Amino acid sequence: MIEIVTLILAISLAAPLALKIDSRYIAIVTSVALASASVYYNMPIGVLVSLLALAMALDKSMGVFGLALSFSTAATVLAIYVYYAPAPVTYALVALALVTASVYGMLAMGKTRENVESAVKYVVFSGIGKVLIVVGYFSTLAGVAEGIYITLLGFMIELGIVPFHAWVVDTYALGAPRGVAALAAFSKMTTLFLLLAIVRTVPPSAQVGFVAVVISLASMLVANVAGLTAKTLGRVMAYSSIAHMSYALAAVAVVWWLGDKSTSLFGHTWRVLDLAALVIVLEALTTGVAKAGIFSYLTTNTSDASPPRRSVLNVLNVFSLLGLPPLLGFWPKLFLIYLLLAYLPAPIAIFIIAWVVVNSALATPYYLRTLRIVAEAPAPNADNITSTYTALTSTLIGLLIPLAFIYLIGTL
Amino acid sequence: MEVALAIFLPLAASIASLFSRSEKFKAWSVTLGTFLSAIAATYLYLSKTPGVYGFDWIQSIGAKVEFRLDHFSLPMGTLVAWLVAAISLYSVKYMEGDYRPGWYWFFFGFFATSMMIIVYAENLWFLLVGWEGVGLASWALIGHWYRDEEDKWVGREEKVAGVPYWWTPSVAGLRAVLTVRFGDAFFLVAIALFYIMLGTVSLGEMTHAGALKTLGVVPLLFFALGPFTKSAQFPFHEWLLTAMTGPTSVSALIHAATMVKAGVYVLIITTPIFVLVHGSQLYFMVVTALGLATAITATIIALTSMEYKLVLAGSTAANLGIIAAATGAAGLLGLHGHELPLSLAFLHIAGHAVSKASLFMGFGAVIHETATRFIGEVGKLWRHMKTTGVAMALSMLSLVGVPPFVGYITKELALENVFEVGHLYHLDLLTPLLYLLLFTTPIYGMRLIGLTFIHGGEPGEVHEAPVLMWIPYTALAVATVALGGYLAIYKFPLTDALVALLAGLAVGFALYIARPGVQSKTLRPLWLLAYRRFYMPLLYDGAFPTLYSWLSRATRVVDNRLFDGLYHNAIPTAFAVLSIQVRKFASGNVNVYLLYALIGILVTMLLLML
Repeated sequence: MIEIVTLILAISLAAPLALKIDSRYIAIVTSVALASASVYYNMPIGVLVSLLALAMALDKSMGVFGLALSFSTAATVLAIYVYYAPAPVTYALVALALVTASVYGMLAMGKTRENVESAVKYVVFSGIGKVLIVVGYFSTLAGVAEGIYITLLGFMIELGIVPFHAWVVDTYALGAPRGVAALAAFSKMTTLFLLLAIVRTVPPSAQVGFVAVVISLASMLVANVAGLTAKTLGRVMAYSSIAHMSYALAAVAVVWWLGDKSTSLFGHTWRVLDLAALVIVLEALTTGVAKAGIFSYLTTNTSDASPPRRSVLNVLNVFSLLGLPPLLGFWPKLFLIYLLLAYLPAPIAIFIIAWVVVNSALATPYYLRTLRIVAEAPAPNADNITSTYTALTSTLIGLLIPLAFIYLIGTL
Repeated sequence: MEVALAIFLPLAASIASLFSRSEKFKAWSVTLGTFLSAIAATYLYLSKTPGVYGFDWIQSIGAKVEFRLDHFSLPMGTLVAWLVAAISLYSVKYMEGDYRPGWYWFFFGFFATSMMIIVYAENLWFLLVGWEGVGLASWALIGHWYRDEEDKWVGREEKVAGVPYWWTPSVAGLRAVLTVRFGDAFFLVAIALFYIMLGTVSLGEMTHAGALKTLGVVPLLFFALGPFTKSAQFPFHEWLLTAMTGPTSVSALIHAATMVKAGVYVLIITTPIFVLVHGSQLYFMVVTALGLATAITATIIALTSMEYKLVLAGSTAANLGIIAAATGAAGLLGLHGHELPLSLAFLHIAGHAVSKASLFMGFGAVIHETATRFIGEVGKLWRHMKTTGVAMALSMLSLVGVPPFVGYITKELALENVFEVGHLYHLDLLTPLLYLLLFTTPIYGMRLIGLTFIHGGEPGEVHEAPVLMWIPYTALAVATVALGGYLAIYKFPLTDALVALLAGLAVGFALYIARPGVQSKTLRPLWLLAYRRFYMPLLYDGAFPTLYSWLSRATRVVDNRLFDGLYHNAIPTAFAVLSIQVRKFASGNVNVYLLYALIGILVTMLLLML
C-alpha cells in the first residue's frame, strides 16, 4: 500500500509536467486508484475517502490545487492504512505532514486576504501541534515518561480542543470553502487515524487520560455554548468541529483513565478500547463527510457569508452532525454512551454520560440554525456531486450500521 | 379464519365504503359487510370447537392476537353481529339523505369490528384495541351531527344554577369520550400491572398464574373502572343519557349491541379469574353495590324523563346496573363455594339487547315521523303507526320484564343472584330495594307507550315507517316473544318478585293508559329532583369544568411566569451572554491565540500534577 501511495504521489507530481492537463483530472485518477487500492486492502473507509475526493474533483475545476486534493487524499488513505495494516506510525506522521501542506494550499486557493490569513493560522497552529506530536511520540518511544503528555498537547492543538481552538474558528470562517472541506475531511481524519495508531502503540497513562477527559469535557461544552450565537456557516461548523473532536478525544481518554476492560454489546464481547476506536472512526467519518458536503457546495470566497444558493441534500448532512438517528452521526454518540455504560455503576461514568447527552441537546439550536442557513438560502438548488455523495453516505452508512449489528446478533 | 371474517368484515366494508362518493354504495356495502359478519359468527357458533386461536403480537409485553371461542364469546358474537346487521339495515333508510354519510358508515363498521374484537379477544392487550376502538367510534357517532341543530339536542335550552341543561351532539360526544377515557386510563394501568405481576394477560393463562392469588384488590378495582365508565355505571352514567344526541340508529347500536355491553361483558368474562384473587370480596361487593345504585338511579330517571330516547337511555343504564349487580353477586356466591352463576347475568345481556334494539329503532321511526323528541307533544300514534305500535308494545313489555317475554326470564334469573347474596350476607334492605326496582320499572314502560301511542295530542301528517325501517324492529319484537317461549321451556322463574312487578304494571297501566293525567303537587319536588337527573349534570358540566378551568389557569400562570420565564427567557439569555463571551476568544489575533495555547499548556500541567 505504501508503495502504491508513493507511486501515486510521484505520478501526481510528474503528471502536469508530462501531460499539461488540469490537475483536477489528476485528482480524479488518483482518487480512483486510491479507491481501488483501498478495495484491494479491504479498507472501506479508504474507499469512502477516495470517493469523496473524486466527487470534489468532479464538481469544479481547481486549477493547480487539484494536486493538493490528490495529495491530501493519498495522505489520509495512508493514515488509514497505517492504522488498519498495521504499519509503522512514522508513515502516519509523514501523512500528517503531507496533508498539512496540501490543506494549507487549498485554504488559500481563493487568494484573498482572508483565505491567506486562514491558511497561515492553520499552518502555524497545526505546525506547532505536529511538532509536539512528533517530539512527544518519539520521546515516549525513547522511554521519556512525559513524552505522552507532549503528544497529547500536540493532538489537542491539532484537533482544536479548547483552549487551543481559536485558530479553528478563523480558519473555518476565512478559508476558501473547498479548502475548509478538505481540512474537515482529510486533515481531521488523518489526525484521528494517527491518534488511533499511536494509542495502539504506546502504553496507556491514567494520569494523562484524566487530564484529557477533563479538557475534552470542558471543550465540548465551550464549543457547544459558543456555537449557540455563531451566525455564519463557517463559524457554526468550526464550533461543531471542535465539539466533535472533543467527543472523539473523550472516548479514548476515558479508556486510558478508567482502564481497558471487556464489555458485552449485541451479544458479543468487546474490548472497551476497540469501542473507543469505533467511536473515533465514526466521529471522523461523520464530521468529515458532512462538512465536506456542506462546504463544497458554497461558491463564495469564504464561508463567513450567507450562502448565495440553497442546498436540499445538505439538510441530511446537518441532521447527521446533529446526531439524528438513523443517520451516521447518531452512531458515534450512541457507542460513546455504550462505552461509558461499561464503567457503570461508577458515578463518574453516569456523570460523563449525562454531560455528553446534555451537550448533544445543547448543540441542537445551532444545527437547526445551520439547517435554515442551508435550506432557506435563495433558489435555485445548488446541490452538486459532493453534496449528493456526502448526503447519501451519511444516510446509507447510518442505515447499514444497525444492519451490521443485526447480522452480529444473528451470528450468535 | 371464520373468526377473523366475523370480526373484520364490517371494517373491511367500511374501508371499501370510503372509495365511493355514492351514499347508497356506502350504506349497502357496510350493511352487506355486517350481514356477512353475522353469518360468519353464526357459523362459528354452530360449528366451531371451543378453544383459543391466534399468534404472538408484541412478545415483550405479552401481547397476542388471540381469539377465544367459548360459551360466552360464541353466543355473544352471534348476538352482537346480528343486532349490528339489523341496525345497519334500518340505518339504510333512517340515514338516507344525511349530510355526512361517509363519516357515519365508516364509523359504523369500525364500531362493529371494535366490539367484535372485544367479544372474541383472549388477550387483554388485543381486547384493549377493540376497547379503544369503540371509545373512538362512540365519540365519532354521538357527535355525528356536528352542526348541532336544536332538534338533535338532549334537553331544552335552560340553565340550572348557571349550568346549561341542554347538550348538543358535539358536547355529548366530548362528554362520552372524556368519561370513558377516565376509566380507560385505569384500565390500561391495570392491564400493565397484570402483566408485570402475572407475566401474562391472556385470560386462560391468567387463571393458572401462580401469582394470581396475591394480586391484591387494587389492580382489580383499577381494571373495573374501565367497564364501569364504559357501561355507564353510577356515577359515570351521565354520558350515556346525553349520548342520545346521536342518530337513533347509533343509540340502538350503543345501547343494544356495542359499547355499554362491552363493559358488562368484560366484567362477566373476568369474574372466573378475579374470584381466585385473595381479597376479591371487596371488588365484587363494589361491583354489586354500584350495579344496584345504577339500576335504581337510572330507573327513576327513566320514570321522569320527558324525551323518548332519554327514557330508553335511562332504562339501558338500569339494565346494565342489573347485569353488573348480578355479575358482582355471582362472584360473591363463587367466593362462598357456590358454582359461579355467571350465565344468569350473561343471559340478560341478550334479553335486554333484543328488546332495546327494537325500541330504539321503533322510537327512532316515531321521532322521524313526528319530528319531535319530546313525550306528549304528539300522541295517539296507534292510529297511524299500527305496526310500530304493536312492535313497541311487545318490546316494552319484554324490556320491563313482563312474563312470558324474554326480558322477564333473563331479568328474573339475573336478579336471583342478587337475592341470593342478600340472604347470604343478611342484607335485609336488599330485598325491599329490589322489589322497589321491579315495581318502578313497568311504570316508565307504560308511561312511554301510553303517552306516545294511546293518549296525547292529535298528530299532524304521520305515516307508518318505511318497510325497510319497520322490518328490523318488528322482527326483534317478535323475537322477544319467541326467545321468551324458548327459554321458558328450560326455565320459567316464578318468585315473589313477580308480585312487585305485576303491581308496578297495574299502577303504570292505571296512571298512563287507563286514567292518564293524574298529577301530584306534593310529589313535584321529588319529580323535579329526578327530572334534573339528581342534579348530577351540575357536577359534570359545572363543578368539574370549573375546577379544571381553575387548574388550567393556575397552570398557565405557573407555566408563563415560571417555566416560560425560565426556559424561554432566563436560560436562553444566560446561554446567549455566555456564548457571546466565549466567542470573544476567537478575536482573530494570533498573538492572543498563542497566549491561550500557553495558558492551556499551563492548565494541563497543573492538572497532571494533581
